[in-house]
Amino acid sequence: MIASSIIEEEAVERTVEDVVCTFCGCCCDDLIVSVKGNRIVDVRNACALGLSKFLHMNENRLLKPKIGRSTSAKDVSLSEAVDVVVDLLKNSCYPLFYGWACTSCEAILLGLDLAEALGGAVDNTSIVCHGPTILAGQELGLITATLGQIKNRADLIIYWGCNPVEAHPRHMARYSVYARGRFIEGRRMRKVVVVDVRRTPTARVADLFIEIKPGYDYEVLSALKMLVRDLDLEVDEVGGVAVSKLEELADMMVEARFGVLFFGTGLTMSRGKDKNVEAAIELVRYLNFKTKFVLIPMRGHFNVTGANEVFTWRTGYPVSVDFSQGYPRYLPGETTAVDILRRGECDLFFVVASDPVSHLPRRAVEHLNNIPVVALDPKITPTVYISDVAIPVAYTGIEVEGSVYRMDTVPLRAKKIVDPPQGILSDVDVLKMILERVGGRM
Amino acid sequence: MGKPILIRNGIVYDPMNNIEGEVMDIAVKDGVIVEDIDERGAKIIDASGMLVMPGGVDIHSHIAGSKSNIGRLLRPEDHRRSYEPRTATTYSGVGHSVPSTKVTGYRYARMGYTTVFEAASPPLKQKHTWEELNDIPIIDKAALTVMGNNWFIMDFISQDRIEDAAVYAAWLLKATKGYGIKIVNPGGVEAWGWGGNVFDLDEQVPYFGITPREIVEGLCRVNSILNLPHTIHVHVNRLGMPNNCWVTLRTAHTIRRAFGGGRFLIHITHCQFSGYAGSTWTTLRSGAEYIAKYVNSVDHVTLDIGQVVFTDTTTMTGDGPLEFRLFQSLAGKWANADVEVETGAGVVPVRYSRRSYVGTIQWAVGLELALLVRDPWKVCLTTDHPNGGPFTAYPRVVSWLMSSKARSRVMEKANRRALKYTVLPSIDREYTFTDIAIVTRAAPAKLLGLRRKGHLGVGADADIAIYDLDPRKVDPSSDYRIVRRALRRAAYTIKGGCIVVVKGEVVEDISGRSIWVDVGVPDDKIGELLKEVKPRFEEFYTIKLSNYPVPEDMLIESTPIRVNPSI
Amino acid sequence: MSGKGRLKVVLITGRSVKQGVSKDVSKFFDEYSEAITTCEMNPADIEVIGVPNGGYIDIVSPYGSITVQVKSSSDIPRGVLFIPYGIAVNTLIPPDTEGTGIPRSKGLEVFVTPSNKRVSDVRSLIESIGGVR
Repeated sequence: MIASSIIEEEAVERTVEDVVCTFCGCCCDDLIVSVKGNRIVDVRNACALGLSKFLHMNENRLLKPKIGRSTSAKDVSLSEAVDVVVDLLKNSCYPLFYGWACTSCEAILLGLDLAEALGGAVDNTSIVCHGPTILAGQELGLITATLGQIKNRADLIIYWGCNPVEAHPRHMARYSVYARGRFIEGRRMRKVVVVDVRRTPTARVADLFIEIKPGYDYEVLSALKMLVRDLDLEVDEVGGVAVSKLEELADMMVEARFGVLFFGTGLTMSRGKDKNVEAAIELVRYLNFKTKFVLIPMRGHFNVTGANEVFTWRTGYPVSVDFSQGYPRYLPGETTAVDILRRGECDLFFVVASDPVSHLPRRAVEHLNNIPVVALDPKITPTVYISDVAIPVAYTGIEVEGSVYRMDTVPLRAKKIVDPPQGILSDVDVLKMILERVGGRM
Repeated sequence: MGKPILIRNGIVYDPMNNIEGEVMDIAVKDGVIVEDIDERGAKIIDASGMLVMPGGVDIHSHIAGSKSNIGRLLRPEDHRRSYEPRTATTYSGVGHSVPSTKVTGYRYARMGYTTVFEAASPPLKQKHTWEELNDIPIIDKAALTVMGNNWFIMDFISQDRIEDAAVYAAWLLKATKGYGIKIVNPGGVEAWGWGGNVFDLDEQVPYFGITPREIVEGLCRVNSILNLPHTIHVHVNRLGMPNNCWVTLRTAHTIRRAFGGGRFLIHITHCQFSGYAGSTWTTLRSGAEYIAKYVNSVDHVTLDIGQVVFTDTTTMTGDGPLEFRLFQSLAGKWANADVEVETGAGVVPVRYSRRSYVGTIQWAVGLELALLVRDPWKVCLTTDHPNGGPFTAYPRVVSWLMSSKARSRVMEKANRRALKYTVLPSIDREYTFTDIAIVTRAAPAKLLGLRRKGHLGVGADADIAIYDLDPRKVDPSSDYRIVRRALRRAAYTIKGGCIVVVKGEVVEDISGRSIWVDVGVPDDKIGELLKEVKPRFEEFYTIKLSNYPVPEDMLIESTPIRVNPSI
Repeated sequence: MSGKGRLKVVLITGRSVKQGVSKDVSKFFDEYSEAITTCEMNPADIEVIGVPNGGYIDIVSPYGSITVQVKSSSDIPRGVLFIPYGIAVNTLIPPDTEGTGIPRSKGLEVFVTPSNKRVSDVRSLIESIGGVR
């Protein structure tokens, strides 16, 4: 493991308590950060992922605005960089504003302002992780709860197509399997089921592990829908799982007093996508006629849930909003970032707080060969590396405060712990400068 | 704030100051109404032949927060039927029943409304509520804080620690920048944590050793100890179910029974939804007469009507089990969102149809309540937006209240069988302009304890609505369509001394105030209680106590109202 | 369909601790490159392909190909290949979203063969996307 807690010999100058972690959607708010000078030297309570982000924040950092791609890049002043960005934006017919996973809601709102002022499109990274969850939610409605309901009440916990041990390392301890609440005193009062296509590290803690064939989630969920309604399955196996095992799971579900289905990209990224999530929602609907059951998506990046919230309150739609007609429009497959890139429709790509070059399909991002790319990021990411203009910004939740939402939509204020490097502003400030210059309302 | 304004020769309705249709001038300076101004340099508005009223005050509307956003997320089809493009002064937006933030403010302002209360906000998610309220332009806003299923409140009440319950409630209001105590299906939403519900006042809440009656009485006492400007704001048990008018009456009466009146008051919200008689949906009857009779005979009860409008809309409430029942009967979309330790929430789209038996009864119940309760100061006009219909339907509701002809027009096309079981066809009362000014402005402002709102006296906030409607010439009883049209698009809306709407169009996009109640409970009392509460708080909640409060700097134009409790 | 040396498998992408920890240090450091160019397969499948544990394989999809190191893991069922999220695997992912906005990043059918090439270089993958060279 790369990250390890570094306890400095010298005395720590101050500690900040109850810090919100900025890595994943768990947004654990009990971190204790030790600071010496203006440097974070230790983080207690964080998982390996969170710890790594805090301790290595200054490595490979983007410290100066730059113009030009990679080797031909040259450092410029902030005002020069902003001039170039404003120029590019003014000459653009259809800019696409993308990212917003690791920044504050305040910044996201400014992104929407920019897209509206320029008649562009704006999308957030949730479209390529839990986008299908949103589609299914729009079709049927999510049946959900905050994580405290799970901690206090859930006696059956199902992780389906997700691997919290590696992706949300403290999820089980803080919110579910091992957590102690008012009515449930810990692990022994809960049953744990893991459903996945491979035996993940999470599967090792399960009372029941069900391994399904890749791409067969919809079939298995449909079978469970029948079983919880006391219908018979006239086959011996579904999706590589013996029906007797599914019957066992169905009985556990019906007998639970409070059950929860946590699901991850195993459902959303595989064959069926939103239909898989719809099947899960329908299963939970039927279960509510017999007992209490909820489902919670395991949202990935830090404030990706906040991006959905901000998009929704301002535009009515949680992702993929197009302002080209002067009002918000949303059409999955048309106004979605990957599709806009794949079809080569946008003539400028403006990235904030994410790294699409690494995380979108290559065939879609190849369009970036043809158009100007602007990036705002604290680090030199692959996207920053290939961008025509990159502006360094402070870390939200470490160097500037801001509003963020946990995976279950609980809002939190992420704190400022240390000062950003000299001359580096927050993305809110940079976006405000740009918005002002392109004639947006403030 | 802009320059001084003189509104000349308007026909003024200001019931709080006993002004009923007098032609007079109103002067505005520095955001407030003043005796007189120097006309030179002032903006003069010629309001001759126009109706002038205080800006509208909405006592109960779901405009912001987690629940509203779930509604928006759930309903892309609702947005596609109603959208507003960006203009030189305004942002774009969408939504018929669940409008996005910017257009929510514009639409209220266009109707001459200037103050709106978000009806229910769970403390854990109140930062979200404020972020949305911040993004709603023009209007002043506040949020009621849900407490009726809060574990700490319930525990304190069941242990007979009323003063501690009061200190905790005071802290909740301070911490969340809330305005008052909202009770949603007391005990029932906690039971929904197990998939259950609580149906009557004396039923036990599972594991809490408490009943809804004790919760309502306890919080009423807390409300009185804290001297809050508003009363307890109650969404009763069994809401939205047949035969619930008796629970409503028992809930109202338990306050009188326990305290015998005085300062112990109760506001029954969206009373239409809890005003049904008849034991099943097929034998549903209006229970409005029973409720009106009781309200007429006592002076501790007020209500808002929660009128149903025939349209496609989105129901949303903290009453999780209610939305599940609605889903059971409609089988369409259903969203649920429990909130740990505090409450729940549900969202279900509905369509109220005048051909439907139940729809017609519901429509009639709201109007009967408004028409049968004699004193308009006990009534506020709401649609429980968006539950009974979007707030943009208020002008329609006003026309029904002012014109029996308008009502008859609806009844001609409504469900005949249903009308036989309502008394609405036999009611000929028609609201006057004064009555309308009361139920849409003066009464809600008074009930909320907003001294500077709901009237046009000197010192009041310069929140003024001017409608292109001459009450001396227009007979609302027959010309109800003219009234409706005028109220939809104010000739002028003035908010805090700034002209924000002219001829129904937004001309200035300003931000309103964020109003909350700062209860003056001594800090050491709160500190002492929190010290005791902290370990249990952090055992039950999934966030740290220190991360729970809404910092005041999150609020745009934070406007605390200081109250002095009797602790 | 798949004889000795060439195997059709189902590609699953996901988070791994190593990828998650190293991505926030730097995506230009070796730890990260290693994390996203190392895949896991069932030992029996590795034997079918005919490479040693820790050997190199080519993964080919209709959209591109990459060379990665393969590690044996009995937690992976037969016929499945797991590889962490990242620029390497995104070379293989279809850009079509089937009207949903999200590409299918799990469950894509790909072919694997033994490789005599070097593991795909992350920096050159980035540069080829950005038109840097």
